[in-house]
Amino acid sequence: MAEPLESESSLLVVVLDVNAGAWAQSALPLDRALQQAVIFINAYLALNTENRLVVLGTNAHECRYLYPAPGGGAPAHDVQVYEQFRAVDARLLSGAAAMVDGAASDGAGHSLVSRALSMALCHIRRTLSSATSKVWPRILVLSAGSDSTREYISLMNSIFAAQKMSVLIDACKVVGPDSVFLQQAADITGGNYVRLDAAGSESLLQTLMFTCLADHYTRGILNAPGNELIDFRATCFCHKRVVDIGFVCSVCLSIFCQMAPVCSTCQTKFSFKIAGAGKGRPAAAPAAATASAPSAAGGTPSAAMSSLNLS
Amino acid sequence: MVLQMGSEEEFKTTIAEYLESLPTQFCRRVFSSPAACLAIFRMLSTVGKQLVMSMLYLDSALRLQDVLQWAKIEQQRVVKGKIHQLRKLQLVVEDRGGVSLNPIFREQLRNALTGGGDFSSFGTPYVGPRDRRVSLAWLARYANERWEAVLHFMVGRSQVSPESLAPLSESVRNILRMSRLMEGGNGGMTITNSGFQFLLQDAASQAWTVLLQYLRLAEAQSMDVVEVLNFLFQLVSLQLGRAYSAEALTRNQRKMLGELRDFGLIYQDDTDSKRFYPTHLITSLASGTRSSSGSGKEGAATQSELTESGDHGYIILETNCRVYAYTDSPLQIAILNLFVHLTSRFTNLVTGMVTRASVRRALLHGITADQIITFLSTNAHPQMQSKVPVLPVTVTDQIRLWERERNRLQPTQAQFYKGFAQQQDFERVFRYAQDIGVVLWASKEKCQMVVTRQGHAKILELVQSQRASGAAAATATPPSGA
Repeated sequence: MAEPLESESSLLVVVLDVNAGAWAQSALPLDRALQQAVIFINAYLALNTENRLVVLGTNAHECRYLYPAPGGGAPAHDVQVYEQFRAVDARLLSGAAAMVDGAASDGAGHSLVSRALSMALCHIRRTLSSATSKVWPRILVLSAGSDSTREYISLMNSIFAAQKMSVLIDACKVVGPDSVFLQQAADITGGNYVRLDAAGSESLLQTLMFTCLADHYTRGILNAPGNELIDFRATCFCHKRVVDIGFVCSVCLSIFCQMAPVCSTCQTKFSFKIAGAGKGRPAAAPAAATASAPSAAGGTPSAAMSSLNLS
Repeated sequence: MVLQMGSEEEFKTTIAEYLESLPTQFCRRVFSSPAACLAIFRMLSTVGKQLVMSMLYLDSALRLQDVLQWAKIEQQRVVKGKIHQLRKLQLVVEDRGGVSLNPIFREQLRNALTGGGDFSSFGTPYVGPRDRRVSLAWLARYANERWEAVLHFMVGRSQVSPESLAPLSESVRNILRMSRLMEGGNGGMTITNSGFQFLLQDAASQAWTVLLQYLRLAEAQSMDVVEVLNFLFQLVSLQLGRAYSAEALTRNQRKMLGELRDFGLIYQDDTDSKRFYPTHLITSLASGTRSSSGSGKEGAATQSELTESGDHGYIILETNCRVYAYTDSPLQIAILNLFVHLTSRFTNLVTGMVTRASVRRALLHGITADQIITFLSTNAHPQMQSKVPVLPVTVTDQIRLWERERNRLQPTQAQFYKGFAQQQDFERVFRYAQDIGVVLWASKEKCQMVVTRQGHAKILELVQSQRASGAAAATATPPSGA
């Protein structure tokens, strides 16, 4: 991958979490947060006239394009000063309002972040393949809802896809406690993760300007805000529980909190040669891990379930 | 494409230098318009932009040391340089070790982002019937035609291009003369060395050169520079293909509009018209990154239109110095003729050789090797563009060598000392001269020494103060080979 040049433009996909239920618990009301996000977006567009922008809105039920508006309107790269600021702002605010009004409130609410990320990656892929000059893609997630363990698998798939496409994922958690998933997303893709605490929620804009505005080129020069502690724990595929120590299928790397004779993901049957491993105590895991190397030859899959210390 | 960026840097520094030279109270008035703040912001380097944005919503000053901490250790020197540049542009003010944004600039840039402040600073859209003729493609063609007419005039081929429009107006000639791109009276204007260099630049740099010239012209006519400057910044932030109202403009601004029209930077039906359209020549200046070859996206739609009007690569350069240029434009042929020995011409093709004689002729005109190479690579045929590097290294090296050939001798104004009475006198003067770093050549055996002109005055002082003891004699001043 070539080094980014100073003059090359960016493609930014902003994922706005407009989950009304989650924002209700925030010290910063949604409309104020949106205003600050709009200023940030204008600042991004001001950086380079060729910068392209996509804004996705997501809540507990759906995920849709806010800019460019689906079916009509100007294409995303039709950028110009000020006039264009106004076009983006109007569309974004009205689109977000429509989403808030349309959705029934659902408590603490998990938002469909993984779905939004998938849409973002698809859009990036499409844009890059039709681009005539080099464009550096990145994603910014403004998250309010809490992590949904149900989303873990699809989210991780999106994250690894992003890593492969060298798409940076920045994440800003505006409401609530740290998001384990988004921390991992930022860490794996080389983006920045920030969380606003209740007192600091007023400074959303400054935080965004400082941590999430820089393009690929500038990030090579400036320090990233440090994330000392990242929770790398995974969620098991069987019960969607966050696990410290679990079992990993040696064929497809699925994670389970309990020992199972058959991998539910890839249907591999495990052979257990070591007695005592069957009870599913992670303490016995080292024995299980060394029991047999996976030998997929000969059409009879014989695999061992390895135990993995995930912390 | 790296070469291209070099030329952009050049014009960026030119406009930046102009801003730096403005006194503080002028700067303050320039910054009072959101459009100007946004346009200036866009001309900064990427790191500079990030620094400004990081500080934009901070109300308190930061310690310089803390700002440097934002950068990786090995890059802190770079960031320090950028801050220094921002300070020279008066965007950043320093107060007791703390740095913060210029408050006026900060407020107006915030306004530009939030849509507050002086609403009309981004131009008043024209409400009324559209001119049906005007489309993006049409505007691009119009602008290119006008611009090429000016360039044609400069290379003195206007008579062989019957399709060129009305003869150049007096104001255009005036600008060309003022900027020393051309010289001479109305009867026979001839192109100057800087004019040759101008021809080889890309369109954005050329446009900046012209606009800067306007500023100087405005100063000379004691017009309000800030008014002109703000209007220019407003123009570069207008939207391509949209009609703007000229009614709200002042008399000076309307006059400028008429003159910029002659260059094809804007389009206006006739000078009395109440509306005007900016063309891509001026709107593309808002971003420092777009290349003239149209490889930057002006929107995919307009890009094809720009290439249609002949604004794409057409030159093939072979390793044996042969040049094939697929063009029938007299202008492009004339420009090539500056540094290529053209041998044959076909309907859509000219061929020639880059020879030592032809390059030397260009060098004598003040064109540099880098300018030739930049021109060739920006206008290289798409098939050559796909190669890395774009131009054959043998040829680019040869062109550079030819340039260096001319620079083997470097004349320096100097002063020659001889006839020191004693060795000690010589030693003393020699040591002093060495300390202040002005010695060009010296021989202890002969007690002779050559120093630069600047050093001569200081050495005279030393000698005079020690006149009693020394008898150093200064003699004539031939320029010496160094």
